[in-house]
Amino acid sequence: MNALANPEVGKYLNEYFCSAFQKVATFRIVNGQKQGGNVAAYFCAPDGRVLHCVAGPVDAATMLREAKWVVETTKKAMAEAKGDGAKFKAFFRKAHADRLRNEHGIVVEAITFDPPAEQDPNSALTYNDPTGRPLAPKLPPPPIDGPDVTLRARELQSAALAAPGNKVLLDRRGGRVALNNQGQVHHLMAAHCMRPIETLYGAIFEGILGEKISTKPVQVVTPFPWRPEGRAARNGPVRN
Amino acid sequence: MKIILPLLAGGLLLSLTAAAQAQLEGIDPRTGKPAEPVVKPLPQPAPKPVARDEGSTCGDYGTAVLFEESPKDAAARAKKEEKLVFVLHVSGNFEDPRFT
Repeated sequence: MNALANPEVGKYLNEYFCSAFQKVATFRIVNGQKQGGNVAAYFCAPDGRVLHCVAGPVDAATMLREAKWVVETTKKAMAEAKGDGAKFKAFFRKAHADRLRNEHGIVVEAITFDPPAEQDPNSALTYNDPTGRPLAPKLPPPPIDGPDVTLRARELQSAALAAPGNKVLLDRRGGRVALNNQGQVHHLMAAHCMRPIETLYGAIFEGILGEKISTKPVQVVTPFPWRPEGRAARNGPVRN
Repeated sequence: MKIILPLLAGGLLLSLTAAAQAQLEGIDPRTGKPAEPVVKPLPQPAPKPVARDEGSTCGDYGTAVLFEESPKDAAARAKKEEKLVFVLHVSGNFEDPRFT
């Protein structure tokens, strides 16, 4: 949350965005210790379609840079598309593919056409979760053509493969490429940008951040339920 | 001796008077130049809360960003004001920083 406490970030977000938050996952407290917990920030059109996302906690400079990129790219896309929604979507997906190539050294072909949905979410035959909402579909990212053929891309990929915590993926020829959280976001967005947030958040929060989506905000776990803190845990969250 | 003692006393009195005057006027007695004024750093004012627009029903929850009640409210407001929407997905209770 440090990035959002920055006055410059706050001023920019308040000027160009209307903000809201949702609790989508559990925050575990085991023996009084915080465990897990994560955050994802979505930049959306007013109809809820996702333009960009920042997965995981970032510093103020990164958050500001990403917010400015969304605003500037939206302006360019609006000027380019001239009211054509398909052109706007294609422009944004290509912009994500370009960033993936320039900042992570990986080449993908942006998917600019969405095939019709295989399942009708309102059909009686579609499986729904117990809350009645359809499950977030599994979104396949576009195939990776491979690392870019520049020296800079090779350096970026060497560093990414050596860095701990990066996700290793295979390209079309079976070569290994590595991506951090933001690289995975661009990879996903090159095919699924401008999809509604309710179809994308599962792929971001579970697929990239590795958090289990839950409607229970705080879960208190204690191995000693007979002790006072355990009794308090059953009645409500322990606050330390 | 009778002449020297009053002269010494007078000289001492004169130097004391000059030193006292220099102290009152802020002059450095060694250099004779005006001394650097000692300015205490003023306490920094507390950061002002972010200005809230009329009709806003949101909070900032310890951040510099104004949050609407729900994404639906944010979307409606964004459409009205021709802005984009920023949605934060969090684990835990965003309202309580201990659980975020």
